[in-house]
Amino acid sequence: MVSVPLSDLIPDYIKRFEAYVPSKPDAELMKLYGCSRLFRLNNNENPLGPPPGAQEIIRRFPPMKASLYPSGDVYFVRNKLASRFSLDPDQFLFGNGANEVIAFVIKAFCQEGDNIITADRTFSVYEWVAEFSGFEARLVPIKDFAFDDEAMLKAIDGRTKIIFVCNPNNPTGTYWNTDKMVRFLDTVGGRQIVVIDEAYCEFVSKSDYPDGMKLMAEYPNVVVFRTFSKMYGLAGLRIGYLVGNPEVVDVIRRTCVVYSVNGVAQDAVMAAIDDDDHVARTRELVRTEKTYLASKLRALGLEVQAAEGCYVMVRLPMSDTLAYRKLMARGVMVRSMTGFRFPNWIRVSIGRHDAMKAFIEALSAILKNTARAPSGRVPS
Amino acid sequence: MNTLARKASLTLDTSSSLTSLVLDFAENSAKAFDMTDGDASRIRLAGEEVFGYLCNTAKAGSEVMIEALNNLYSIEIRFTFKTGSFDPYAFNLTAFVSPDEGQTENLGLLIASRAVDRFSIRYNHPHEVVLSLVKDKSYPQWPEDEGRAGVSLKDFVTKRPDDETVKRFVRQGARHYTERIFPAPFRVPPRMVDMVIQGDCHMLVACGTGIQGGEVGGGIIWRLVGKGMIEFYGPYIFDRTLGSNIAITLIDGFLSAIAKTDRSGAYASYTTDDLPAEYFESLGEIGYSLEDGCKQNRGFVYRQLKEDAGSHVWASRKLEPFLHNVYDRLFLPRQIVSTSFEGESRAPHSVLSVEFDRPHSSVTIRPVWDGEDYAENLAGHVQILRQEGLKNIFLDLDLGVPWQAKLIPALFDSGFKPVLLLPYAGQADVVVFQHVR
Repeated sequence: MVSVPLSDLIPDYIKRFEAYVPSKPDAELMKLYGCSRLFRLNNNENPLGPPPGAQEIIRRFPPMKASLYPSGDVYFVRNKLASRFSLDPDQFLFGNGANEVIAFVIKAFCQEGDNIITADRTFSVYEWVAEFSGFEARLVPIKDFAFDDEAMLKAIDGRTKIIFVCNPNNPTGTYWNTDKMVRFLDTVGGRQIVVIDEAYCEFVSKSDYPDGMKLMAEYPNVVVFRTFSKMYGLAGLRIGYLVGNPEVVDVIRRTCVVYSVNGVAQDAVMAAIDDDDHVARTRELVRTEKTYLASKLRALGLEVQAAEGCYVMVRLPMSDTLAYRKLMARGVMVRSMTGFRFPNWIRVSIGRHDAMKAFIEALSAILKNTARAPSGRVPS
Repeated sequence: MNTLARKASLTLDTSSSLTSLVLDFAENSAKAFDMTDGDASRIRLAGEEVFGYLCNTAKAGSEVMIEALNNLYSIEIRFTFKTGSFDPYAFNLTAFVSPDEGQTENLGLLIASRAVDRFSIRYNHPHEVVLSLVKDKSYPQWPEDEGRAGVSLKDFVTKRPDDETVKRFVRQGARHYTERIFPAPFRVPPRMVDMVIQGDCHMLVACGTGIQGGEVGGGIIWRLVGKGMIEFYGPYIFDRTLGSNIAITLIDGFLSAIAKTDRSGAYASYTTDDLPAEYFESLGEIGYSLEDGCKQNRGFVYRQLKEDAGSHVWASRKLEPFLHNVYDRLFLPRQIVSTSFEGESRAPHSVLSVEFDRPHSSVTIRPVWDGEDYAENLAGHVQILRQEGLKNIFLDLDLGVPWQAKLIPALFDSGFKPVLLLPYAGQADVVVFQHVR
């Protein structure tokens, strides 16, 4: 058998890159942690699931249709969204989840020596895709839990091609209001592509929250990301999209992988898009349970970062990864935040009331059992 | 531009007619890498003995690749060769072979092993062996009282230090802390600079701002261990006024720096009273016997960096009660898979490596190579180390390596008992055994 000279074949930027290892399936984790039920509060999934119409489509999907290729460019969904947002269908590009469209944009605009700019504590995929593609990711420290516009502008140089703004930010929930976003775009002056990731936009009801799609008319360098994984509860079907100025999208289309969105996802989205009632019910659930969760956490004496989005962050008086293991043993899965560069914080997705109650009970018990020790002494 | 030479390599047949070429290569590489003449001679000797061994034992026409690697604070001579019959017995601390016993080849390895400071042997399936010999670089003495007595910063920022700041930090560390807290390998300023440049040591320091920009108020050191672990040291605090602020900022910065690496966790035993307790969990304590006969407990703290997705570990039944206890206490999801020797063939000779920690009068043994004589070899090591006056003898066992797990019954029989578990410190969790009789 010949040996593969991997060290000669692998680019340096891949050698440096650490692969992301997703969680094991729930059943495996439950077996390992010895719990009989599991509340998933780690991935910001919609506790109500997909809208009823989409559920019906999924239930009735004709098995024989699985043997046919789906629409390669998500034709009907593009047309429907175009009509809803008064845009042209060709302004939309779809991916297998919004993660995929991040790669489309970076591949379309960056070449060797270029960089992208984003925050140090935000959704990690912008940074990952840039780095494993061989481009520098300039990570600007967040300020008061929010993207720091001034510092991001200072980080721009002649090789900056794309600026990613997660609005509202995952995991902090902060957002730039319309004034701040417009000021930022004015200063950028169209010299870079500005991606506004609006994965959680449907959860924001503030009047000063900017609509990226409307800004595109005045700022043709704006590209907006949206997803059906969060508000529309279709995370398991993997479908997200970008929308931008026709000329910009024409460029991105060259790096777009067609046929990557499956037929069930496309059909389900067609039924989901117009279900405003589902959006209202989800918003109400998130509002109610987020208020409950934040008040309970504050009553435990904990620092809480609860802003927009379907999640809250909480700072623990213990290691977040230890808290993760202890919560798992009690059947509650949260997101530990060390990997987001927020040591000792966890992010909790908003779920149904029974899940929120189970989380609070589990966390209360864990904190009660955690002896507080003076500095330099670690409790055993 | 005059750039530092970092690597030289030579591929040649294992023929004694090429010995002088190997000798010159080893010695001249060492000199080119800034080793002293004395150290270069030792490298030459080690190279000669290993190459001689290979010439005597290898099949006709076989090749060896010899690489000289400049690690800045050390030189590594690496031999990569194919063999079906490599016997590394002579690399044991206990090895004593004489030409009268017909073991002239092993005598060469014995000489080579004593001529360098460290060695490692890696076996790549099916027949490739990588033998590494490491010799540390000698540094000039420096006056230990150069560090300032105290630091009082108005404000501070944390940053990765430049060379001069590394040296300032080391001097302060050596002045403020004993070797039991600020360990010996870190107490030589230029060596630390080389370790940082080489990437074998990482550091974050807290420096003053403005006019105080050259002042160092504290710092933290870390290094990679095994495939998935980081060992850190500190936080070392020289400014008592801003102490806790500096400590927390250093720990936050340290964790942010390592959060997105391929490492699963960080642990420390060289900590200070300034360590912010809420960031860590306790793995337990090890009782040390000190030179003066007193006992001292040393705590080990741990911080997992990733969500633990569980794993399996190899173990023998005798260790299982200890493992169950630890895994329950630490909430670590593990599947324990039992294994034991069942009559399968083993190599005749085992190899154990030994790492000394003189300030703690302690030594750590690690299994390098399995062999039939393992129990006898281990007993011989313990005897020699006791005779050397070492009061604390440990053995690190990697539960991710099945053959090491099979050694567990012999460990218990030799008077060792498990005292600590380091999650993911090897290919899987590592159990630290301590010799208790």
